[in-house]
Amino acid sequence: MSSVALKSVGMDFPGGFELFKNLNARFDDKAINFVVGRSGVGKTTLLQIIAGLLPPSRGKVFVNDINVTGFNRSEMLRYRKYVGVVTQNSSLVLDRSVYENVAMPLRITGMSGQDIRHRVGASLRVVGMSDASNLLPTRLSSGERQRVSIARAIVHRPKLLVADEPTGNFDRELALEVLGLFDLFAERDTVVVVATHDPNLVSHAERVFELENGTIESLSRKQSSMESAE
Amino acid sequence: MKPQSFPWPDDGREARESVARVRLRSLKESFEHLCSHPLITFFVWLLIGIALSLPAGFWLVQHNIGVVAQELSTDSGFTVYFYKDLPQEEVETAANSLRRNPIVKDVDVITAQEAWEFLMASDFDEELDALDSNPLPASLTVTATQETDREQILELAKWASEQPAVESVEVDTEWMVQLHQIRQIASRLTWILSALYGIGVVFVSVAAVRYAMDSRFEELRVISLLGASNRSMRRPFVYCGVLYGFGGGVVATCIVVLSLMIIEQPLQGLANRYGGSIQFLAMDYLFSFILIVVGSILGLVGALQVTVVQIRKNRYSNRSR
Ligand SMILES: Nc1ncnc2c1ncn2[C@@H]1O[C@H](COP(=O)(O)OP(=O)(O)OP(=O)(O)O)[C@@H](O)[C@H]1O
Ligand SMILES: [Mg+2]
Repeated sequence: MSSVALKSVGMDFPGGFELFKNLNARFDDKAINFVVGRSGVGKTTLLQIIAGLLPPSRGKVFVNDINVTGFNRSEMLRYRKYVGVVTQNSSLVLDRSVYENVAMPLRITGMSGQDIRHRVGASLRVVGMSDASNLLPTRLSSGERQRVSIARAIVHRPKLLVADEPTGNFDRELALEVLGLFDLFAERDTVVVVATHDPNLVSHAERVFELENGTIESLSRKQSSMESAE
Repeated sequence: MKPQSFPWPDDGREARESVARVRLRSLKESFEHLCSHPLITFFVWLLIGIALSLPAGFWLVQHNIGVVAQELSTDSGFTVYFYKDLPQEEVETAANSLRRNPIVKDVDVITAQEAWEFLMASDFDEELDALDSNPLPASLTVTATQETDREQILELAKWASEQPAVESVEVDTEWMVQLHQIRQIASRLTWILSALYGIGVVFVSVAAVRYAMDSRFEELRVISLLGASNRSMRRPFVYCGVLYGFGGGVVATCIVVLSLMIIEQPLQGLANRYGGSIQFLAMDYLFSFILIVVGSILGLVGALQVTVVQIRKNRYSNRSR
């Protein structure tokens, strides 16, 4: 049983811009947690705070009831090795092959070449990109790049998977397949948090959180009322 | 894509992670960077090599002057020539008064007769036979103690020359003194050059490593996003700096060895004129080892500096926009 909990998280940006006033939420495993909200509402920022990439201005983030915001640098680095990140714009290194891109999180930890081959191969297979292994990302379509980005996020078997618009460039069928893959991780004790602005994607989702005006709200119980309003 | 099954079935063993492998990997990356920019690598090595070879060459020169000076050094002092036909007692008196001086180590009396016999033993027999009387004066060879500096010797020589019985005083080996002075200048120049060119090498390393980081800006940004520590991000570039310095040291060794080969013949000719026993110090293993180590350290210093600054600037921000 894994979880990520936000306790009174606030976020200010230089210039006095207060993005988050007071966020309280709890993301569990066993199902995907969707975060929805208008563009610019702070979805990307929230995911970065959860992933330990951006320290919040106020409040605390608990992972399995451990205060992550209190981590020192080396603890934070260790924590981040258990986090998989799919960024909004896929963030691939364009002059490295697909294989090398996917291998990056493993190289950081110093895994042996044999283990890396094994893992990267499996990861690329699962997103259907095995054949592109030796290509440069510049040769790929944006949807294919997104898939490579997903392969890279899962290659080190993360305990926390945050994905920012992971299906933005996919057709509906492919999007559902990706969510199916994330579900598999969620079932295996990985906390999966997915940010999206695609209402179709979350229409049947079990857990949905909405970011609005600097606060977060769980929509799961309001699901039926939202559907009737549409 | 068909993710019906979890991609990580238990394969029965945890993937082994290793600190050593991270370092080895970084080293490999640095090599790859050097190899993928051969022209830059070549020029950086050449630049560092030239910068290192100058002070190294100067050091060798001043060291060899030292060797020559050591080899040829006679005890310093002067020779006192008396007027001809001076009574032997006056010579002895002068010798004794000089012996009492604390800077004098030894006074050797050469009587007119001895000087004559010495001359007779040489090859000028016929010319000398023509002389009917001894043309040579008595003389004293005054040797100063080792620590005495030149000023004191000159002072004493001046005093001796002012004595009424003394015709002239000849101070030994003026050129030896000049040699010492040249050596001093060369030695100071070596230090100045070392400092200046050392700083130069550091700057070359800074520029080259900075270039390496810039050329991999995207990659650094991404691996920082994936959870690489600052230290591990810096590591390949620090190794790069060391490799630049190392290669520069090797190039410097080659430059010095080549230069020595070019000047070896005239140098040995010079040495032969002074007895031929002088063994000039060429490039030995220790010296090239030191040169390479110094180069590597300077490269390391530059790389450490620039990587710390670049990464602290947070240019590879985690923010992915
Ligand atoms: N480093 C920063 N400095 C200043 N303002 C920032 C910074 N990062 C984000 N912001 C601001 O915070 C707000 C939220 O940004 P964020 O990227 O989290 O939105 P988002 O919900 O992901 O939007 P989208 O759906 O378009 O991706 C934006 O108004 C943005 O300008
Ligand atoms: Mg966003």
